[in-house]
Amino acid sequence: MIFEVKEGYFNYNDSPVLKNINIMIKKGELMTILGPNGVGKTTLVKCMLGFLKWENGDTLINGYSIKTFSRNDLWKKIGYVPQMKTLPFSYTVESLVLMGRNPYINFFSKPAKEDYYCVDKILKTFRLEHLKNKPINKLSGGEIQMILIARALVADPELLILDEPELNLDLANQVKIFEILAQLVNSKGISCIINTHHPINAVRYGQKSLLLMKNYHYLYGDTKDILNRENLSKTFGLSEEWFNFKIS
Amino acid sequence: MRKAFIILVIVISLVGIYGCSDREVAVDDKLSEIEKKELKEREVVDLGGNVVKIPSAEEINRVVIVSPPITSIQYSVLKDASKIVAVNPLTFKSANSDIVKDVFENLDNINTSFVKGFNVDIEAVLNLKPDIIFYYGQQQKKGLESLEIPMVDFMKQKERNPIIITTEWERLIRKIFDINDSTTINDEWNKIDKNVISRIKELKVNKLKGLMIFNNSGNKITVSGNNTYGDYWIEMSGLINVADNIDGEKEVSIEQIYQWNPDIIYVFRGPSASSYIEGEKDWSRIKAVKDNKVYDVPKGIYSWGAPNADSPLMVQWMAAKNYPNYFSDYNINNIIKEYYKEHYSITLTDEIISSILEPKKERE
Amino acid sequence: MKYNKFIRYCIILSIVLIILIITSLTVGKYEISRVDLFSLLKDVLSNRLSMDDTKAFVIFSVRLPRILMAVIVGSGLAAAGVGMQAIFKNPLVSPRILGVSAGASFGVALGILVCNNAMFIQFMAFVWGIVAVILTYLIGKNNKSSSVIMLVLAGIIVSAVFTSLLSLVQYSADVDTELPSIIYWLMGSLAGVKMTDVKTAFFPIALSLVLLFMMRWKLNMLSLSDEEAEALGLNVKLYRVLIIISSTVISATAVSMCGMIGWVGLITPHIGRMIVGTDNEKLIPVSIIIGGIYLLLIDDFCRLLYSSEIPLSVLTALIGAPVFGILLKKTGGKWI
Repeated sequence: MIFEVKEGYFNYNDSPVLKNINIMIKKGELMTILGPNGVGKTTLVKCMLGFLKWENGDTLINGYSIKTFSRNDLWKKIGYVPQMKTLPFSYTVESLVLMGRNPYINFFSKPAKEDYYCVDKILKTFRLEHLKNKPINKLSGGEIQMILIARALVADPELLILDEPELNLDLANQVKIFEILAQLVNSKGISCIINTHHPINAVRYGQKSLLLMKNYHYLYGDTKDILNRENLSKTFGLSEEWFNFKIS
Repeated sequence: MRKAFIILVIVISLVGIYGCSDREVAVDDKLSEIEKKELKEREVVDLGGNVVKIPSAEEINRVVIVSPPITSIQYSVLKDASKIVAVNPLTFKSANSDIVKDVFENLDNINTSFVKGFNVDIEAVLNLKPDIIFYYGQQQKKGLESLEIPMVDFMKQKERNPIIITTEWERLIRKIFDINDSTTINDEWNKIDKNVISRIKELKVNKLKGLMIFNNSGNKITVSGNNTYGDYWIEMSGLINVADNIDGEKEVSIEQIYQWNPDIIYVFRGPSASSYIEGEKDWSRIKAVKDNKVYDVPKGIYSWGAPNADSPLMVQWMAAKNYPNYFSDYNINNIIKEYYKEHYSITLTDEIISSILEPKKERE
Repeated sequence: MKYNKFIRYCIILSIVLIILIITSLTVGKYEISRVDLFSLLKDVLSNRLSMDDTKAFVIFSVRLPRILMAVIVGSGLAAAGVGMQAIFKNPLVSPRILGVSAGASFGVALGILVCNNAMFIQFMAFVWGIVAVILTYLIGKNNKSSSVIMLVLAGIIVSAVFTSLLSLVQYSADVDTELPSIIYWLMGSLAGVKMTDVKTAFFPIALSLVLLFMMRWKLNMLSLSDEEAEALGLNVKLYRVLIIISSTVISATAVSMCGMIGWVGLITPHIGRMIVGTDNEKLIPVSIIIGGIYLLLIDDFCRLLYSSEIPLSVLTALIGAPVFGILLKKTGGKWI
């Protein structure tokens, strides 16, 4: 699958936020989106997925606009992992992951045996079977993030889009999440777009990177070309020396 | 578990309070205390227990009556309504329209817009330049206190006995207007005591069961329970009030009425008596309906459901309806005619009398 | 929760409901001895029942409609409560949040003022309940976002307006006759319910119930954030509108038939959650049964406690609130 954004423009209350965004990601690629706070990373993700309407330009899958896909077809192809937050109702892990099967379930239907089987399978792959009947709000942040990824994967998507998956996670859990994602990309050929705050994770795991900067500038390309000291220091307003540190 | 029990007890006692709410009011004590003091010239103790200084009778020329039935009492005492400048709109609504025309020659000049519901418009009252105001209870008095106009409260807390109420009302009105001649309502009540109540006591049959329907709105039936005007009318006219174990006017189910199975039903508000007889099948199982003994409460100078200057007629009319064989000597039409002549100097035609007795036909 | 266990709960609750319905049929103000009850039962079984017998009439034409109405309205309000709590993503929400009760109450008052006829009043209550929610929806609808906060605020606005309008109608009502009628009607009672009322109420409520029942699993996703639900392939707007419509129809019918009843839509979903957990797929059927049991039980208290009727709205809260308080205290609200 080829996922692209062509000439994407977005305004918020008539002031531009995103200008002429052009990105393309192929099968089995992991792309990270980096940038300072308030530069429009989350907006970009929302526009890409059609939650917000592009002022101009479009998101394309295999060359076709996402508007041409039916709701179910689209979300069978794309899995979205939102930012973690507490739920008003503490569903069990099983119920929550089951929701990921929704694109396969008709308007007035409920999950069938097959859907439950898929849930069991994905939980087994993630080694989370023991949490199956636990209420979600009782789990740790790392576990919840894994469950949310599992929910996105249970629909068997070709592209996974994650909005700050490392939010509120300690280093070990961040690594765990990125290792899993990298493995998915490598072994299953799933594409990944990750909105992140941590350049290290981006450098370590991403093939492609998008660096959003102030004044609607952005850099897009292979990670090794984009995420260098010069660009990062410019983007985040830090001196180049800052990136010189080494952990003894 | 103990906590749960305590909460349960609280709930049950709350429900209990609802069932038998009986607030004692210390007005009587206050009254007797005040009565001990010597009243000065032109001072009255009203039914709310306030001492009110009133102008001399000749100086009272503009009367504002907030409490509807007081108008009929004043008219029965003065036989003249020219001093009344404003009345509660219910005064006209709850009365026979022909009689209203007889009572008020200047009907169009009477202000009825100064009061809305329980709330009195103070500025409108000031505009009326009243010499005295007759009101009913604290709610109507709200805001009026600030005025320098004599105000007389006609509400006697907790009292529902029409004999006591009408007698006290008339006593106050007579005192205010300084009038001592003519037949008092008390004389009428004495007559009732002799001619109706004592005769009923000698009845050789079992007392019949009666029910007063207070209101019936959209299948929600409210009946007059214990200590209501309806209760007094029923008991005074020789019936047993089937709703005696209910306090005040409350909603009941049709099933409860089946269980009571009253012999006679009086209908105060809501659909007319005939609609019970001709109307829905549910009611046809009740003895009173089967026997065609459902009656609308009449409407004379004021509705007979509430105490007013017509009240002695209500008891006689009901007694005659309840026990026609024992009161076969009663010609209710003549009794009404004479009463109106004597108390209001109004001559009634037979047509008006039948519209008094069948008020809901009049409307149709 | 295992599926078998859930089925077992449903069966147990249904049996409780059926037993309660049968017991409610046999008790009441009109005395019917046990012997008479058995002979009536025999008549029913041999199809020889005659409505000329007052006892049969009381049971089948006075008590039965009332009991059925309590069950239908209770079930409907419970399901509506579950639906509303899901789409507003908040367990403290009840069906009245969109102003349906305020609108319907205004309709009742207006109906009494215009023409004191039961059918007309019911009609007015229903229509104005719907009108209120449509207004709420129009105010809360926003081109850019359709956030539920906007809807809640719009609901507050519309409720406030209709509450004032209700006061205005009450103010202009006749103190002696109309005002008490309005107050009595709004306090709520099932005393005058007839079979025709049950028939009128059945279709709108049953239809909405079926709709809510069919969408029961989808409710889970509606309680997530809108984008999260969209990303699961859910047509959030469409489901939301369908749930609002069915809840509104249920609530408006409830007010038009038995006045303002609070608490049922709020409390029964929580009792359901204590039993089967938060999964709406199981919660909806369980809440429907519990709602029926709850309102029927309360109405039995209303008609049996005293000779006079106790207003339904008084007891739904007076019994419901403390019971809920005890449960909350005991469990610490773990079920949410």
